Amino acid sequence: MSSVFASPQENGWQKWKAVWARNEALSLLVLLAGVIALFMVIEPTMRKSSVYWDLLRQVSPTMVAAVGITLLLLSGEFDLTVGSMLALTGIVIVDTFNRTDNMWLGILAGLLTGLVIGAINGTFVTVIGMESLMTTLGMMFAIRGLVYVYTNQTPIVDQNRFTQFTRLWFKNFGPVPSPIIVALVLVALAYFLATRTEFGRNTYAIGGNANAARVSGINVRRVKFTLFVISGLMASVAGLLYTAQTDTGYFNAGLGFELEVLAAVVLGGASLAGGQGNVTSTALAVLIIGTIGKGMRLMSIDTTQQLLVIGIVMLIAVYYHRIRKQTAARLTQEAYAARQAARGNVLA
Amino acid sequence: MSAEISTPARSVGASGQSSLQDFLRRLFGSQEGVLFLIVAVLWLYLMSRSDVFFTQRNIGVMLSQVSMIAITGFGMTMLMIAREVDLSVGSMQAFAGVTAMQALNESHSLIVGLLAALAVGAIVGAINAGATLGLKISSFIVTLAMMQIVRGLAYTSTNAAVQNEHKLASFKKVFNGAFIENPVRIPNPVLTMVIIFIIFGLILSRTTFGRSIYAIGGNPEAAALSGIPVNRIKAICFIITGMLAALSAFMLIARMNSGQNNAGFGFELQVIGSVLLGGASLAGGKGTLVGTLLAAVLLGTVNNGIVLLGYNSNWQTAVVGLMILTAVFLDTMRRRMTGQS
Amino acid sequence: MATTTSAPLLTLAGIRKEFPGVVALAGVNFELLPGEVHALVGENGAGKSTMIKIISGLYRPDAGEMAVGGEVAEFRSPADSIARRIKVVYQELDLVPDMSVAENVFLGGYPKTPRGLVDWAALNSRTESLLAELGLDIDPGTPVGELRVAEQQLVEIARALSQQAQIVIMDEPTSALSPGEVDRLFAVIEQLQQRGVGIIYVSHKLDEIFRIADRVTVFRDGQLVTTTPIAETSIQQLVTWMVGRELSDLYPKSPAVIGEPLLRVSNVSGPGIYDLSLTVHAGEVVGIFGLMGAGINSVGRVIFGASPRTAGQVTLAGQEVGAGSPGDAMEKGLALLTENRKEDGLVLPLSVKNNMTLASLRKFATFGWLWPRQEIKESADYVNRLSIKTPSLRQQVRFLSGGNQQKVLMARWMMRDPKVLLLTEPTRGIDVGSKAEIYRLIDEMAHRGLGILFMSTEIPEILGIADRILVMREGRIVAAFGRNEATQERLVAAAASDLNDAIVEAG
Repeated sequence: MSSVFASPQENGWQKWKAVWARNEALSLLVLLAGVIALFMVIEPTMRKSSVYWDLLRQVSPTMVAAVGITLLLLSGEFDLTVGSMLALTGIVIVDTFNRTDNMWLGILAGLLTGLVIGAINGTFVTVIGMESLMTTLGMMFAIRGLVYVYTNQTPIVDQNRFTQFTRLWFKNFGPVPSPIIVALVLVALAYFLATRTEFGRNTYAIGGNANAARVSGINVRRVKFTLFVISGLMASVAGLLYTAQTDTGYFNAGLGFELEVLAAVVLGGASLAGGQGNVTSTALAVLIIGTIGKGMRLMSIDTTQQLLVIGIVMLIAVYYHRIRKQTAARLTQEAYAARQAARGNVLA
Repeated sequence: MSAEISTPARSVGASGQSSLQDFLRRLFGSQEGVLFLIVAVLWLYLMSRSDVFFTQRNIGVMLSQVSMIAITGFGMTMLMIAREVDLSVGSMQAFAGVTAMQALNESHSLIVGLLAALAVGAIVGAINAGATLGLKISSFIVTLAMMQIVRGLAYTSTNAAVQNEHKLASFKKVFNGAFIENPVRIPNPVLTMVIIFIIFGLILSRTTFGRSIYAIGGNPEAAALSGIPVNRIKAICFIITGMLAALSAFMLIARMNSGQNNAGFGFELQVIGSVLLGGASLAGGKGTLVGTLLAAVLLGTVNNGIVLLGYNSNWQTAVVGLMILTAVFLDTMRRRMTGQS
Repeated sequence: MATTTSAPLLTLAGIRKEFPGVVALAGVNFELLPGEVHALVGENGAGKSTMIKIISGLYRPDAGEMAVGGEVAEFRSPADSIARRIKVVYQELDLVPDMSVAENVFLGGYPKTPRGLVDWAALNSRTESLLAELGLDIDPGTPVGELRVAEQQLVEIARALSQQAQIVIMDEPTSALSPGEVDRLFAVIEQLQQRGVGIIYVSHKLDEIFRIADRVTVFRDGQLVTTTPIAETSIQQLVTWMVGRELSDLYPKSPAVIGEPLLRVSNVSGPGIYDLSLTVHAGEVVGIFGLMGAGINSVGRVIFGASPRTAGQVTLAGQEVGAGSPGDAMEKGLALLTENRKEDGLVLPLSVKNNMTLASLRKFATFGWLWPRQEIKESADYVNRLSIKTPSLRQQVRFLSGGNQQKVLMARWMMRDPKVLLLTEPTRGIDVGSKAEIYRLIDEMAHRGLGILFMSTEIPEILGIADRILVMREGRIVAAFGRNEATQERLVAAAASDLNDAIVEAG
């Protein structure tokens, strides 16, 4: 909620620069538009709208998981379990399908998984006081291992063939694919949570200065615990969407997903130290990475070589954020100096 | 847990403790001590349950498997003590391996192949250092990006795997873990691990360079104000880590007899997990090679034991996770009790 | 609203708190009346901050009872304390820099719409009126990180108003304020007093206490020494209670033998300092006095090269010292002790020995290989010479007391045999005993022919140990005094003039 106070001498160009520098989401939107424009020029298929609807479908699990992680990271904590959660949720859902022949129970069980794992992570970190990066690294291996043990490394196929379930992935409303609707609803909810509720503001406060939050009477542990649960829940929703795609629980689903999600969060400008970032930017960052991947696939660049480009884009983006933040800081300093000069020392 | 675990204790004030008490306190009071006890108990247990465990062959195979994680882990330990991290070591297993195998096929020279791997490691390490220190971006992010880039390079250089076309007789011998091929009758990968452990262990504990690493990680500002060239030392740590990761990539292709472009998926997290389990911290300033070695041996022993005792090998991943959780839990408890948190 | 009742707002009875190895508070009885300004004084570590943390719910006492407004209060967290309308304004301001003024004012208790959402309109308008009450003209949307320290302080006080606090605790509120700003703050305090708010005022600036406080309570070593109306005591009396002995033996000053000029600083500028020129001779202690924020903390860093030098020249014994290179400064014979022991001095996870030898590693090594025996021997020598209290050389330095930590850092630089020592607030936050020892060391080193440049915000120590005193204000040297001409009043007058006042230029 930083206010943009323009100093009197800012001319048109500087005003635009200030808007660009201070508004993370807007700067990412510009980046996204640039990427899309670039691909439209060099790859004719990228000019078709169907490509973008398809793209939105594909990025939705990542977007859901990334938004959950963003909220958690705002408070200064990590969650590396999202990749393993993708596999675990899938296994739990399909296995429950097969055992109960009830689709709704399966979905419920899947979401409950996220809730439980999130609560376990939260307990380790907030009650026992363990460091979150290490703890969730351990949980990541533990969950993946349990999935291996339970499935004996064979996929679990839905024997009921719940077509209703797969619609979660394949159905379109008009041109709009259903998974992106789920994702956008969750983004909107997260945005609302972060900006309009006291809980959301407390999250920013904790990440910005945990000590200040504590002495202001904010229950830091409770907020963080809740965020872990939210992050777990979001990961299982991502798993739900992912599983609907094939109607199968894969033991190897989501290998490396945690780093992919983290890359998007970082590209969205969230600080690993907490307190900075927002869900809209993360969602945009997911779209940027998705567009680059999609564009390169269409240009029949080998899927595997896309990593190279994504890595380079990440580095550039982080540097871009850095420059942007520095510019913002310089501009506010200048504006501040101007304000001081205009009014004199407010206290003297 | 500081650099001088091996320097003789010298009491300035009157401590009034017997050396046994002091010894026990240090054993339980440090991550290394706890790990040592766990490894010892585990070995005794496995010896009692399985006749195969304590055979030269089994221990040799087990430690050979451990050696790659440990060797990369030694570099990573130094880097993490200096408060930096390298996530690109997994992709390095693929890229350095593929490059080395290509160089071997071209040159038919073992040395050229090894040098090619090490050069790749040094260059990637230097790039990591340059981007982290030059652009002042957190190394976590830089190496996360480099992880993708290096993996991408591996994919670019070969479609799937570079096969052994040079058929050098010496190649398989050098790092083929299971067999004892040298006069000291220790498998070469294990011997390599031990030599690197000694060299870097001494560097870390007995040189100004090593001491500077601890100081930088413990307090970079204070180190800089004490005249320590912080960036230069960090850069060297990045390069060492890259080269050691490349060395273990070379050991991997010798074992697999081919350079795979998908080798080392998740390797970075196993290495970092071992280093953290060994007592290092992401906050820097602490950690030892002994700890990393013990942690790697512990994980190797657990994996070995699961197979030997006839459990489902699917348990291996889960047990790694549980070990890490236990270590973090114990460390948290210990810090709480000594009031360090 | 006048005070209608004299029933205490806050009562502590027999409050005790222990930490491993230390009794931080040994059974304290304390009372705060409505409309009263009750000062707490005592050396660092005397128990003041422990008591504040108990009242604010950060610590739970081991024994004793606390009552707020006559009702027994057991605080489990700061939220409980805030619910009883207690507000603490900490010395290290607890604000979230990236968040707006309004959000900081209502942190932990935002105004909400009937649906339970954050009411941004009410948040901003209520903040605006609170700021207006304090005479502060700031946009409530401004990020707090962009305000000056004095403004941030008032934001904290606005926070107290927003919580309708009955008890306000202020911990060293004036340490970063100019005299004009102090007056402003005192006016606000009087305003609060008239509303019947009880104020606990912690400060080591005794003259301020005599201006503002009604009663004063003195702490020493976890014990409450006495509580007395301010009118019935004197500064001298307070100091004796605080220190437990006469002040005069704190500063062992032997007559200076001034030698050749060693350090010459000519027209040096850098972050926070402008056109600095000074000379330090062998055997001389030069003091630079300034209020917090006056720039004295930058002097050492710029000369030493830890902060960029944008203009000017530094020479040491005739040799030019390169800008921006601590390494070069060390080569030439400079040493710098900074004011932030924990931030840029100590390497907390390392041992006492390794902290001591950090700046002279090369001395103990051949081609980078360290010889531990020499290192241990020399470190042990310094431990004995500076009487550093540590169980062993291997002890992690984090477990030492502040005073002993500071001595470890002194040893680090003495080990290098520097020609000139730059000391920035070397006694900040340490106990009186260690202070006295550091003054003794400074005197001893000057006597051995070292040049000492000593920066401090505390007048008594500057007067006590310096041969020559420079006064700094807003990054510039504005006055200079010889040891015999300097008095507390003259230093304050030179350091504190506001921008609008005539600047006392002195040579």
